[in-house]
Amino acid sequence: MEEQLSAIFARFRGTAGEVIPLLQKTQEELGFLPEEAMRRIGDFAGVPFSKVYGVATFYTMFRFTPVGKYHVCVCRGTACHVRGADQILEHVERELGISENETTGDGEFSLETVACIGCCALAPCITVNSDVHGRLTSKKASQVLKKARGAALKEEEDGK
Amino acid sequence: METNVEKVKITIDGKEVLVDPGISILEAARQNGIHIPTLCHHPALSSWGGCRICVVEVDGSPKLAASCVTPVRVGVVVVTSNERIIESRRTILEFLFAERNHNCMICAQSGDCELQKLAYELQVDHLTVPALFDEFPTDITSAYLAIDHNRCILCGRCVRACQEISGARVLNFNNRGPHNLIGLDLSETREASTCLNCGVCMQVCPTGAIYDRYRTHYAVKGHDTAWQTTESLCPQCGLMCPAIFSVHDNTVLKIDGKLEADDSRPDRGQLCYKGRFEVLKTIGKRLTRPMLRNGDGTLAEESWEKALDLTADRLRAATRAKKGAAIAGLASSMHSNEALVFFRDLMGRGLGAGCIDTLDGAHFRIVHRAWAGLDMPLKEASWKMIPEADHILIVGADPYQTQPIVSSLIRRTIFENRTKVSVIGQQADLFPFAAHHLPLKEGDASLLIKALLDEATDCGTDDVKMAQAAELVRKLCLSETDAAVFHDIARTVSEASNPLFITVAGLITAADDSGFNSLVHLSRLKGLLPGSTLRLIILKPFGNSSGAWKLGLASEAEPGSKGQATACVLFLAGEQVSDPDLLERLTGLDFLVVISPYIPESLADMADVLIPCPLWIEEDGTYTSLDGTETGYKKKVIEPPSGVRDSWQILSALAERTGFRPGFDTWNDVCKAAQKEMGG
Amino acid sequence: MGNKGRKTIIVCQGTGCVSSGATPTYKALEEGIRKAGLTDIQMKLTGCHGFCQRGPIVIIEPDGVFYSGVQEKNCEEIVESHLKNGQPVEGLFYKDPATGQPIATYGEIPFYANQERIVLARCGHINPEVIEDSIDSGIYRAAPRVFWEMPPAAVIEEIKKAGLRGRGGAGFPTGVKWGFCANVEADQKYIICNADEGDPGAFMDRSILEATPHQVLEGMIIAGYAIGATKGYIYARAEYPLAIKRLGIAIEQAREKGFLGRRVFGSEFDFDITIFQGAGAFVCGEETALIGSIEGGRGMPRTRPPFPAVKGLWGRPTVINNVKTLATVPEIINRGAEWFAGIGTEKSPGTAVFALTGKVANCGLIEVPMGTPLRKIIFDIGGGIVDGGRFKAVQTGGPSGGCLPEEFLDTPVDFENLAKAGSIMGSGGMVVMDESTCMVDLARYFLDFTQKESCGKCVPCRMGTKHMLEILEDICEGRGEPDDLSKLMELADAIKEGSLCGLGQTAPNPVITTMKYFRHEYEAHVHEKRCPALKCKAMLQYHVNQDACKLCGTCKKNCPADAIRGDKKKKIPFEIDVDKCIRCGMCHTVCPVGAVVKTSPGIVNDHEEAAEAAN
Repeated sequence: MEEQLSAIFARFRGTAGEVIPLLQKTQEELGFLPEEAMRRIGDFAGVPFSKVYGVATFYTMFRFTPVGKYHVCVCRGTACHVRGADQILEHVERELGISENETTGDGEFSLETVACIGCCALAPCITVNSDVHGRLTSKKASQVLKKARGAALKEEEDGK
Repeated sequence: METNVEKVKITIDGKEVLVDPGISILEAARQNGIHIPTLCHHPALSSWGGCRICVVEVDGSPKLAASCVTPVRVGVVVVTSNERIIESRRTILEFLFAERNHNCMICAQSGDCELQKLAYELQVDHLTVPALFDEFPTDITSAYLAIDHNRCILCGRCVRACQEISGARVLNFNNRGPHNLIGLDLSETREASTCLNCGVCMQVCPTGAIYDRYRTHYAVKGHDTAWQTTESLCPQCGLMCPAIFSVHDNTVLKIDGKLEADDSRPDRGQLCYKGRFEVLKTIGKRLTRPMLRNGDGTLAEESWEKALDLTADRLRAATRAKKGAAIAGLASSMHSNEALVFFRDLMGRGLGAGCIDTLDGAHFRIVHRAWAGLDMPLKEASWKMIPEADHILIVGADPYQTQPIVSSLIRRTIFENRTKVSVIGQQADLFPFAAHHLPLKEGDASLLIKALLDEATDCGTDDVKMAQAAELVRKLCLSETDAAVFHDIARTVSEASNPLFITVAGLITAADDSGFNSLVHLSRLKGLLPGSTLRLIILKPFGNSSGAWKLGLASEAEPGSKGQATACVLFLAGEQVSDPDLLERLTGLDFLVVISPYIPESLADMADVLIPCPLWIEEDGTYTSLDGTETGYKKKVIEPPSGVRDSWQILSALAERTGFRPGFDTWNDVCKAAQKEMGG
Repeated sequence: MGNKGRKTIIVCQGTGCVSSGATPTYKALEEGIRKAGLTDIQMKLTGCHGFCQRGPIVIIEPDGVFYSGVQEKNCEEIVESHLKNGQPVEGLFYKDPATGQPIATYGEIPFYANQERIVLARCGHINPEVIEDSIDSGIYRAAPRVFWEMPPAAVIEEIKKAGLRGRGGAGFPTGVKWGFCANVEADQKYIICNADEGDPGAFMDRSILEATPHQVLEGMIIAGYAIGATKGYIYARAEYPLAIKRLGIAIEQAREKGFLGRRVFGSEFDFDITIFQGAGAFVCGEETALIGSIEGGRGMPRTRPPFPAVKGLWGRPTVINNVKTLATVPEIINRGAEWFAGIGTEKSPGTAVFALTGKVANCGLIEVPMGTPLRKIIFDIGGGIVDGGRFKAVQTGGPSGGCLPEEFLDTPVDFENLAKAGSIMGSGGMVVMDESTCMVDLARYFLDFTQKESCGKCVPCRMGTKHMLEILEDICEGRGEPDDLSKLMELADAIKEGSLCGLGQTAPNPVITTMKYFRHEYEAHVHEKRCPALKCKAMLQYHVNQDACKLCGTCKKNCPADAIRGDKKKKIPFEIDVDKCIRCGMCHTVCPVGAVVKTSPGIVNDHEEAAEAAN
């Protein structure tokens, strides 16, 4: 982690105004924000730990635990809502056997909701990692998850 | 500042008034005697505008404005109270009461709670919204204060106080919206966090969310309107912080700092854990009547007359038996200047004591010797200069232990000005924030500072000095990391244009004070501050060390150098004696009299007479600041326990019985004498 | 644009089309052309066309032929038939949802034909990652003109004269805002482009930044010059990675050309732009919270005054403008204030950009003159309600706005009229709803959103929205009490008048408008425990219509709660056990013959029965 952080810090000046970008880059690199990383960011930017943590917990994008390999976000924008996003969410929860903000036991999938990803014309939609899947139905959602799961299995086999 | 700025005419509640431009509607109303209730607002803190209790109608707008954050405008028409406004305030209160568990009957702060008072004021006697609260744990990891989220109204006063006044910046809001929670650092417990225990959050907390654990719950003490408050100062460390004492039934219920919105004092009137909590600690059994040692070796209570007579007789006898050196007078530097002046005169002029010293005399002697080696008389720097420094080097000192406010001021400076701070030695509370930290190994101090002096002052210019420095560093056997830190400190010192050095006189043992001398030399070389002031803050062990030293109570000569005393008067101010050297010196005396508020446990087998005296809080007196430049008046806050006489009365009685006429016929005379000597 | 006579294939690479598969489509077309050995064909990537729902979109110029939903597999046919043989592929044409007729060119498609595009004019026609494309299309023509011909005060005057109002929602006159800031003396000023498009159901700003980032940069340069700011920030949502990437490219290219940096366009004026990514907080769309966020803090708003124009970022005068506002500025400079003022209505000149979504046939990004009636937007451009449904309401302004029923369909859309109706213009989200949308559930949805997004600083918003949400949840779950409706209104008033910032002050709007226009739905929920829109789960019942049931057993197979009895082989009729049913709707969705019926029978409560009996 130390090396990764040093590499990130090298791109910044170390000012109070850089806390959010620092947290973003750190999460991008490490997948989440470990406590030690937040302390280092505080030291580097010259701000108290309480500020780093206060900021990190204010914004929804920051996470304090690792996410699954496949990070599923169900969009809850208005367009998605009127086109049945809650049904999609319920369905995905059932399929994965986890609730919102949880990760499956095998660490493959984690589930979150997001305010709006701005793909309203394709409502309802979900994202899996950075891929958007739109015009979903329960059935199509299952397929998307199945595909991801298949990819995961394949990777595992390839690894063996 | 402009003095004759044009006033602004506004209308509040139908009354036309002239107010200063730029002030808030709330301030304008208060200046004109109009009451607007507040919760998140605190006069010493920046305005927040979150609670919305102080809403008023401005120019008949349908939206209500929070008066604490709305500045006055020319001609603005403000209504501070009508049905709509009161309804809005009530709704806010109901929301707050529904948000967390505000059960006054079992709240430590009941009777001293702004939320409770507002509920009475606005006559909220039931809730029209359902209670929605969850249960939160209470953080009781601190011995001093407890954090109970169940009583929190999220007004953020503590957060602002921690940031703006204390400077510790440990508290902040965590999460968002209805999930907001006050958290410490990375959501840690008080104990695990970098909190300085100053308690300023507790002082500003309008509810029982942060309360005093140190004293027992004072809820049972009734309503705060029944308490008396006395403004005085805290004599604990020489910073002479103003303090407000709340008293009920001759008991101090709490001590508050006199918080200021401006920087008239750089610490803005905060108190530290010592001045707020520890001073109220009872450290032994109170001595309320004199005690004499009986023939069987036990101590027994005796009348004042008998105790004083006996003491005077024995002291006179000792003087007669062995001229001059027979008597030693030893005073605590926690006493007021007045008590010390009287004690000094009684012991010296009255009894011809061979040695008059303070408990911190050893510290004095180190400073005294270093000062004697200077080419001109110089003053010590004041702690108030900390915010202006561009580099602070702390050597051996631990301000958090001795002068905690210095520690919080340094922390605030680090965050506000990004001042570089280097710590040599132990200073746990600053570790996470200091630019450098170099542990100080036993015996290394002198060498280390000498090396620093060489390297820092001749950085790269003087080859001989650099070679010497290199030699010294080699001798120090620093690890590679520590050596790098050392060189970086040296470079920072040499580059700093306005550095400040902080140390403690007792940094180094009395036998080897070359380290201290090197530091004085180093700070001398960085140029003087205005008024022949050295860039050096010397932290002292007791609240009135500077006063005692200035009054000449501390002996320049090592004790015992003028012969061994056979009788000693030990004048304590509320401490227990644990210094083994001192205890050693006190054994084998023919006669030991201890004047003390508490029964001195370690001396219980040695003392021949115990005479009770008041605690600092129980009598008046002046104190001198850490740097010796200011004197402040400490008022009596409560009465001493019945039977205890004033220090002045005790010393007068002893003077009278030993035939000494000190010239202090009244308390006022002592005050004048002390004032004169302190250069007041 | 492009070489005449040569065919240009435009493949939309907006977020919408990419998620529909535009990347493989592009590759397949490229591959097809190479294989076919066609040389006089140019491939071009563009940003969002606006018709995201029909993506991936491929346009063949100069023919103007518009293909929608072009997947990888369709590419060969396009290459073979259209490009090689000049025979457009009719099967991929857009089909009018009303008539079912295929339409060949985008100019004829009502979705485009009924729009008037100023801000969006270049969207889908230029490659956002090639600055020359932007320059050829007329971007960066206004900025140098301003530097050489117009003093800052004249620029501000021109914007004032045009009557441009902020497109972020509140509609404050842009020129006036600039004027305030220009009049403050300061060593440093800032211009911030607010691209924190947080309204759920809105994606106008994202599409513009993806499609024509240079237009926004030019607007910022002009604004910076006018107010005397040498530094600009674009505060963009982190959820918009593509927009951020393209902005980054655009800024880099503009610097290389000397349009940003020292001595912009060879003038005496320095100006540079930094992108700041938001981190997920709706409240950061509020000016003071946005500033707090750039400064590295928690995005908690503060009371104004002081306004940012006087005391903003790092305490310096700062103007914050919406993406669309800034994108409009160069056009006003190019074509003059009078031209702009001539479009739209007197008090709301210019055009309005909307993200038209929901139960409308043509979802997408649209731009119409201010004052266009809702009916034209929803029915002519939007093609009416999807699946032959019936219009029920249209929601504008997101969580701060309101829902308007059918009787407002002929209301001209502008700041004043929408406000009068109880909604707001907002930043441009327009969600159309049909009969299947429950208005109580929608109000609950918005309150859930604002409650989650409340920063928690002020009590009315932090707690008031929570109390409102509690009541709405109760109502939706069949626990509504008769006095809940009056309680809701009381809470709404308290929150509106007492909250610190716009988020709180407008949070009750969705409840207020739905209560005003759809009160009967609330009453059905509270008094009859019935959801007329068949949406609120707690009030639903599913049963199998035995007459229609074909005994296929699909419902039973798919039921996650094992609540369906019956047997396909033994011909035992399928029945739903109401106690076991979790009302997930799966059986209803999967039944191939529509035999699973969803109802909300409701119960008439004793109170009302008694009242009726008394009558």
